[in-house]
Amino acid sequence: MNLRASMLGLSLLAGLGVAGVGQAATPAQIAAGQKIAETTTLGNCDACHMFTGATEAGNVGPALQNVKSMVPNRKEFYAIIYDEEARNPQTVMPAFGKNHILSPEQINDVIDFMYTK
Amino acid sequence: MRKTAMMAVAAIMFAPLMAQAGGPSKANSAKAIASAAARIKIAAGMNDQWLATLAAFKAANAAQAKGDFALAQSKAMTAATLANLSIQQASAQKKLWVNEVIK
Amino acid sequence: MRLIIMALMGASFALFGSLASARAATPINPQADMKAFQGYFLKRFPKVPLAAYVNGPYNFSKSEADQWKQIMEFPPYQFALDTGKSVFNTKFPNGKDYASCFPNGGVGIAQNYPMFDPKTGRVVTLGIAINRCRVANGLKKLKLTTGPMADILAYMTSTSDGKPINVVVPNNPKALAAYRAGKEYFYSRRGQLNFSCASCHVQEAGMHLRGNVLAPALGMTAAFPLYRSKWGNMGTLVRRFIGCNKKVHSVPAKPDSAAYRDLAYFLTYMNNGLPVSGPGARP
Ligand code: HEC
Ligand code: HEC
Repeated sequence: MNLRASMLGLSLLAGLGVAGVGQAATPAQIAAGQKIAETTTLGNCDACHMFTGATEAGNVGPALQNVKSMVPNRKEFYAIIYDEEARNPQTVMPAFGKNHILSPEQINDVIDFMYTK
Repeated sequence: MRKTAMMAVAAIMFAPLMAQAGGPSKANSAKAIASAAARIKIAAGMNDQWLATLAAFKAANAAQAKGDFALAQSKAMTAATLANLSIQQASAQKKLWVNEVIK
Repeated sequence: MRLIIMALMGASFALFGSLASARAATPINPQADMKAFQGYFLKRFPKVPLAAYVNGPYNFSKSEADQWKQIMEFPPYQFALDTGKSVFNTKFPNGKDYASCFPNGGVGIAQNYPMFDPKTGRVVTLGIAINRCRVANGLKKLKLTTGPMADILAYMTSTSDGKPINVVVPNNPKALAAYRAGKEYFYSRRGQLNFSCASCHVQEAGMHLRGNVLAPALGMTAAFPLYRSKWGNMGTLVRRFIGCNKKVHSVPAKPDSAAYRDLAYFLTYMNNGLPVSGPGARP
């Protein structure tokens, strides 16, 4: 339990450290993020979330628009993608980080992309 | 930039594991594969095997056969990590599933 | 001081002990589960009458429902149905036939499956019963997911068309345990994506997962086997289980595994009273 908590802390730190808080995202990162968000075997965000530009998006989760005001805190955004179940045990949003579906770098790319929405 | 930082972080995170497992050698990667296999067996017994676990395990065995022991070892470790996560999931669900039941 | 702590500890042990035993002793009550299950959906989707749940996603998407009506002018399962009928009526090399293995010659009995077999202590789906019949007559088992098995199932199911589903969980410890295991399987999250069957088919029922409307769990077994455009051919309920397991990045169980037998037992029992409506067609 403690181990898990500290592992989570560690990976959160790892992810955020990499993000270079305050550093502007490059177009390449944003493009990579879009690819991840729209690829079924990766982020697959559009299977559940509507966002502009998404084709055949689902509505299991809330539409992602004005994302900067929706989740202004990058750390919090990272945690939602890393393991939303920690915040909401009933959620159906997969724990992309905890379950090794996306790497910290990939999560950060998705965040960069989503912040353009 | 991000990538190198990432790798540094990963190196720090996994360094103890690597040290524990020993450097890449045929014997060490075989050991890693055997221990992944044991975890995989437990996950299967709990009806909760992940596709990615078996994919990593397969890659580990393929690398081992080709003599790429470093890759074999890292893939085996990935397989073991994923198997452990699914075992954790299955054990947690033994208690949690009742919360989802329609009452 | 120490005494107080001891007393507190004793009390908490007693409390936990009684909680644990209360859980263990919770009676398995399929009838009550079924009432609650059906009631939940009827209340959540008041516009959908009970019998209409056999139409799965079509209750929730007008465009899919319209397409369906068109498709049903030339039902895509017709070929399987005809093939299944002729296979069913063809004698085995030993002179016997499928009819000899089933009550009422196998006609109008699909609503009673899956069935608990007290001899083996296991759940037997109609597909598994068909394979048992083949083995008893010196033939090889058929694949449980598609092909000739789906054809035979299509025919046998069609002879029960409209009959109320009537799965029985007898008061037998093994039958109750199988039912309970199926229930646990249905509600347990699994796979790298961490979903239970209920996550999608209860919690998110009626919502869109990408282009798909998520069918409510109620009625979900009634139209099988079915022709699915995405498959391009017929598939059994087990084939669907395998597909939905893979969707959450989980390794599927074996088609004839206890896990899938018990899951089918639980899920079909929840549909008791709904009309058999297979074979079906889906996008
Ligand atoms: C299987 C469906 C599913 C997938 C896939 C999914 N989500 Fe979610 N997401 C949800 C649901 C449902 C919620 C609502 C909150 C909850 O359940 O806890 C949510 C919540 C969120 C929120 C919080 C919104 C708020 O109002 O606070 C964000 C941000 C988010 N998701 C982003 C993403 C991103 C980015 C991806 C892709 C990497 C993604 N989601 C993939 C289902 C999903
Ligand atoms: C990630 C979401 C998801 C999960 C989890 C899931 N399914 Fe499905 N399921 C679907 C989708 C999408 C379809 C196709 C559209 C539809 O009919 O709902 C489907 C269809 C089905 C159908 C056919 C329904 C019909 O009327 O055609 C059955 C039966 C079914 N699922 C059973 C299960 C079982 C049993 C489980 C648990 C092992 C499960 N599903 C888990 C998404 C899911």
